[in-house]
Amino acid sequence: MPISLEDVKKQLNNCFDLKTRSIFTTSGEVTLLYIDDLCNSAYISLNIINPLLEVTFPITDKNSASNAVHASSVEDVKDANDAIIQILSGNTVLFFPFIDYVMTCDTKKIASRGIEKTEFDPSLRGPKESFNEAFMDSLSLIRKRITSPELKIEVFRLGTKSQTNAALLFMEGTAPEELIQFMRDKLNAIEDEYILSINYIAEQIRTDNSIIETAGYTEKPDTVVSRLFEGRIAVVLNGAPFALTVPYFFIENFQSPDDYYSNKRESSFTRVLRFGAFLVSLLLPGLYVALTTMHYSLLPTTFMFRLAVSRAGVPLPTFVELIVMQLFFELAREAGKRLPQQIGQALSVVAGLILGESAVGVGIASQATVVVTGVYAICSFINPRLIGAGLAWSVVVTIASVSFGLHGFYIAFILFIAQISSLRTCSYPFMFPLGTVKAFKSKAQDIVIRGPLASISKNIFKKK
Amino acid sequence: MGKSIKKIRVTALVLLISLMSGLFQGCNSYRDLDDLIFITSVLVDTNDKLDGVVVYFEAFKPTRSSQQSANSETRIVYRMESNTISGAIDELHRMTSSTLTFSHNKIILFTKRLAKHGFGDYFDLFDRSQEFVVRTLIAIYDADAKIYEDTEVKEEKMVGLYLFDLLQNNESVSPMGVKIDIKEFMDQRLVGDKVNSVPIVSTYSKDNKKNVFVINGISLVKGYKQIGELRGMDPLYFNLLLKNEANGEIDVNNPQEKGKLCVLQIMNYSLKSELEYKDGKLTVKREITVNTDFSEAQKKIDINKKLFKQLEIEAEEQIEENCIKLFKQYKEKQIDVFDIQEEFDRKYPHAENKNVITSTDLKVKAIVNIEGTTTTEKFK
Repeated sequence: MPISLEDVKKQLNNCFDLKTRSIFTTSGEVTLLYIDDLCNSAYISLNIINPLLEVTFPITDKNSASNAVHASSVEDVKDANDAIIQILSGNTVLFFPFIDYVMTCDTKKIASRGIEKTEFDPSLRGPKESFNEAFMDSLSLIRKRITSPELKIEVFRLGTKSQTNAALLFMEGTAPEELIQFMRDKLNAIEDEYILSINYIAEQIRTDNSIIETAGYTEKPDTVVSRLFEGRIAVVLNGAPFALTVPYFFIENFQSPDDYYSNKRESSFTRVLRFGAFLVSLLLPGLYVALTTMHYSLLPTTFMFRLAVSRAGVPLPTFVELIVMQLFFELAREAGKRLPQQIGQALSVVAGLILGESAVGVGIASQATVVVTGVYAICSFINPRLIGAGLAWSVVVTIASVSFGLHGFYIAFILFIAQISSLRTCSYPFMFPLGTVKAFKSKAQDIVIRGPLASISKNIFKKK
Repeated sequence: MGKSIKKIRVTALVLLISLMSGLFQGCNSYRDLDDLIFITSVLVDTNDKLDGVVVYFEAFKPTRSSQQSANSETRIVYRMESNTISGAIDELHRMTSSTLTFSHNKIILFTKRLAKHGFGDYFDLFDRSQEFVVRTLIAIYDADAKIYEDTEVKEEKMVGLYLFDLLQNNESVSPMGVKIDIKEFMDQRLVGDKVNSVPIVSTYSKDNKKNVFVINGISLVKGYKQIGELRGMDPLYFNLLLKNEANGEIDVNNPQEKGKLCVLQIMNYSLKSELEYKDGKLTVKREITVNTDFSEAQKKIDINKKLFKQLEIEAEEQIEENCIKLFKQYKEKQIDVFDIQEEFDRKYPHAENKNVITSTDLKVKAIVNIEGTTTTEKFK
């Protein structure tokens, strides 16, 4: 069935940026439809309009129509819907009514940010490039690092209305086939009307209802590439400055890009620090409450006396005092995220005064609680991927500790371990390689201690 | 169906864990630190009629100020009279605004008067109650209770903490005393000779109320009753014979200056003990090897190998003589303070002699080595 120009224009009515241009050739009238702000007008003039005006041969079929323009990429348009998608994607659609043919030329020129320095995963010695929101830019940043035909990129259009491009990237022969199929199925199953960020896809992939993230995000193309070589899969979405990588294991929360760009002993030391910092942020508030309110016999006497003196006159119970201070801190952190950088500095001064000085001065909190909150805050910053989970579970540990003392503290910690152990990421155990001796041995060189790069740079799914 | 069963299981597990935890430690144990009064030491005395107990509780109380930075700590000594320790504690509970806790009690002192009378009636609670931890130290207090009540120790506000640190410090404890906690006391009470050696805490000067406490002897306690005291240099020889910590000094005559002394500082020592039971007689051989440092000489001295040998021989004789003398002193009283019965029972479990001290001979061989001297040589 021929594609009607009128039908397409009717569906795109009320679009002020839709441009229609008619060109009269010796064979008949050719009509161009394109969105002005998505296309490269100069390119259209030079490579489509000019050649059509100067065409010397008769346009009698689709081959001669293709030859009449100088565009680098030319495709047939299947139907009216396809024509509309092409137009809205920044391509130019050409109607040749005299031969009942419609074709599209790639003329995209979409405004986007440049390739900037990464902010989420800063690296001292590694590459600084990060993804931007442009789909092709993001793919090119990956492609330029893998000169191998094994890198496969499958494109999906997600969102019934937004028709957002999503690319599934994997290394053929390295990524497990069942994992690739799992991801294909998940992407095909998405029925949302629109997909605006990578989190729309991540939510489909998460099989467990947990606050702990089981899908990995990164804005560093080198990180995506290393994960692809390890056999994982990445998803890049048009308009999203982050790529999704799956499966995502718990220990990845403690791995930093710089671990692989610096001395392995230094990396191992800092990684141990990260593990320690997470445990401190998770457990310190609960342990503090348990020890100072129920098990004070376990504290050194002189230290405890000092704590008691610093607490004298604080009207709130230790537990409430701690929760209030944590709340202050979380509010300051949330405000800091929302505010422009310039105002953020003023906020940090105010927050520092409130948290550090004034709260003690007016008797809302004791100095010891301020110190505990401060240490908790510093440690939680060290593992930014676990901030949300760390906060939620540290509150759980604190409540359990204040209710049942050290028994509650231990039980809450065991519940936390049980919870993360029960999670799965794309059907793989989230705690991999912790769990079985065999799995541990296979990855032992990159858990707490970072082994030699030659030993750890391998496919994690490869069975010995 | 599967999901609902899982939910029920999880709920049941959480309830079970909560219940179990609640039974062990519930919210009712919650206390804020500033709402507690910490007892740091307890002095147990008796009344003049020796039919009741007078207990002094030294307490630490944090006190608030309008400015939090000006918060301070207060030492309060409560004096309670009662028939039992529990009665005294109950009395104390009634007159304190905050909850009492004995979890940081550092030391329990029994007055010498009570120790001589016997403190068995007043000890059970310290061992039985969960509040008192078994690492709490024990000492005999040989001074006026009023000094304990009113004293101000410059080094540490709380007398309990001060005495605890004093007894932890080897150089303070030895050679003048020993350190013993509730657990060791309760063990030794039942082992061998059943004699406990407990440090005696006294005052340096009766007039001076500042920084007054010293350790100056060992009380020998059997069946919660003091049966003897070791004073002067005796605790050093006592410690040497029992292989307790010993860091003291041995004074010997200066062979080059009549009437003047040389001092040998004990660095370390070892003890070999051998028992031989024959024809109802026990011979105990103790070989004490003491490594010393030449630390001081009065007037002048010319150090050489011959001098060292002379000093070593004199020190060896002194140790042997004093150890034998100390042993005989308690053998005559038929009190086995050197754990000989315990050693005997271990080596000869089938022998029936239950008072072997009466038929024991002690042979002491001392070997003193002067390992060196301080930097000053040929002092004149």
